[in-house]
Amino acid sequence: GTGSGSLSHALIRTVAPTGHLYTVEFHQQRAEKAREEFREHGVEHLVTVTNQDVCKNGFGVSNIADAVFLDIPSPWEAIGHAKSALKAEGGRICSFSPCIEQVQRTCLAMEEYGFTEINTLEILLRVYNVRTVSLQIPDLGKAAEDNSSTGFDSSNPSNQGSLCTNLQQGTVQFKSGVPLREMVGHTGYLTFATKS
Amino acid sequence: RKIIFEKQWFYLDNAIGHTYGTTFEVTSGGNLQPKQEVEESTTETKEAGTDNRNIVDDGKSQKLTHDDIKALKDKGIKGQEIVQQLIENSTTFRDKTEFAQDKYIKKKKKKYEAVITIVKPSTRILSTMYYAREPGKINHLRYDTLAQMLTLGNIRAGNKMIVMETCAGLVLGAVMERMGGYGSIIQMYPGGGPVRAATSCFGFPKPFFDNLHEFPLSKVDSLLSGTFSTETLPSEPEDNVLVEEESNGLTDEKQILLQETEEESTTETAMEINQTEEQDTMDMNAEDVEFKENKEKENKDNVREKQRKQWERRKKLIETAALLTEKNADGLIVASKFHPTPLLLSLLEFVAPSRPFVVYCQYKEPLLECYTKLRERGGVINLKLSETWLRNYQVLPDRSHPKLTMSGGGGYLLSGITVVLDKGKSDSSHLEALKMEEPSSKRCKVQDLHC
Repeated sequence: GTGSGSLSHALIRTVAPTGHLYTVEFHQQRAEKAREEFREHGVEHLVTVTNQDVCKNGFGVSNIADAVFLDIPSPWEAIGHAKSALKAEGGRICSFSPCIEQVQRTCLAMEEYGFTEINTLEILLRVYNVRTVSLQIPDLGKAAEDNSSTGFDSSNPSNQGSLCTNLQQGTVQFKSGVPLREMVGHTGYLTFATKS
Repeated sequence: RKIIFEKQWFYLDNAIGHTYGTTFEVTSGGNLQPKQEVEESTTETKEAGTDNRNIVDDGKSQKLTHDDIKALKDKGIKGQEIVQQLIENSTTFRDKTEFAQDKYIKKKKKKYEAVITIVKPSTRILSTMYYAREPGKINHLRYDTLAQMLTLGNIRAGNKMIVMETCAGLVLGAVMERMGGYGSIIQMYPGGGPVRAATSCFGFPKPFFDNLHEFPLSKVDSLLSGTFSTETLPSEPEDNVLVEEESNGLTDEKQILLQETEEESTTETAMEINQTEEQDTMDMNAEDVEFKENKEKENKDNVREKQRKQWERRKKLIETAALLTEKNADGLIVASKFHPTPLLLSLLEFVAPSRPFVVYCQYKEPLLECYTKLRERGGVINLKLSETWLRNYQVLPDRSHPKLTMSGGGGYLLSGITVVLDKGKSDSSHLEALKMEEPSSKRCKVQDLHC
């Protein structure tokens, strides 16, 4: 499932200079575009793009892969081909699917084909923005007697910089790693297994 | 040698000669025996209940006692048989639902079937094991965080990497695995020497270590300020000469410098040996005359060997210092128990511009400070503070759900890319950078979030 070729580039970077990536894309133009880009980036000797349906015709190689990655709509249909492309023992497979139903079918297929250590997980990236935050100290008033100070010690340097110069109550500043208001909550589930 | 693992003990002798991935059974004698593939009979019609409304958990449903089970074990009965016996002697088994039966069988198998599979080590396996069993040794670096580091750091064959870690050498091993023996690594270390306990578990071929160097953190400041000198014996004239050479020849004459210092070391070492030999001869007079000659020779050999080793170490140190002062490393990885800020601020000096760096910290706050200091320093772009959230799933027909327990946290990462540090402009440019850090809330639209 070459698609944009983004993951392919990352894999090529990882296996260079002695490894090789075999990638299969069933859309003819996408396959051609990928070939072009690999050429432009000077990595064409490290990759072979095959234009076919991996579910029907496999990867074009057998018994040599250290690992197989599937990013296609029906990965359970490619498990058998993945198995024959993988080396005899110890090869790893990973399948990426957005829907849990796809994952269920894929796990079943992996089990049927004798894969072991089948494990599904998801990971999400959480990014934080580093911000200096100023929180105002509330005015809790003064007690009835004179000469009483506010409960909170306003010895903090609240009037520095460009922030909050005219507050009578003062502020407390601190650095915080603030999450983004909205984050990516789901892309897909990753299912890994071993051919043993 | 007896290995104890997960409450099982056994000898590894019979494993030799088998391929990786072979599964063994532990016999009653503690020996390993290749396990035969047994076809699980799935065609049996299992008697099962529909729910647990009538099942009473009084702890009495298993008719076999601890002693009965022990007797079976002592007889040498296979784990599979024991599980079968437990099922037959359970009064509630056939009332359980099919799912409950599966769960029961799985649990008993785990307890009574001693099955071992021997696998080839890899970053995946070692990082998972360390996180599960010895997280303290790796500063609670979870394996997905490590994976992020390898990608953000663009670790690959041919790089010249600087690695500073106190994770038992696991991070170093992961970097070495990615580099496949190509390129070079300089490992910075605190104290007396680098810890590479985990690194040795990877089973790398010897050539991988040819381009692995190490350098003590305690010498970093002197290296950066141009006052670097190797460790010296008390009376060493050559040392002062070294200092002069280093501070003069740093930028241009590195090659000549190296040769000069090598020559200095050779003559100096020869001088030392002569001195110590004389010392030895003087000491010998006080000892037993009969052994004098043999002892003399032995001592001379030992001293010579020690001197030689010291000379070797010093030579390597100078070589590594030269590699660092080239200031052209392709990347920096930091993952340690120390506060990251001083490490980054100094080690970044050795990295070329337009290169990635990644800092791991178990806690977020030190990275907040690090971020701020880096912004003040300048010379970095694309600063990103992140963590990854990881969740495992159970996927079974009609029983798919996230697993019960998950890791609360796997540490934090601060990553970025170096750029040319223009010291002249740093005042105005860093203020600009600070201003740009504060986003205006109006710009936060939903479609912006896709970038």
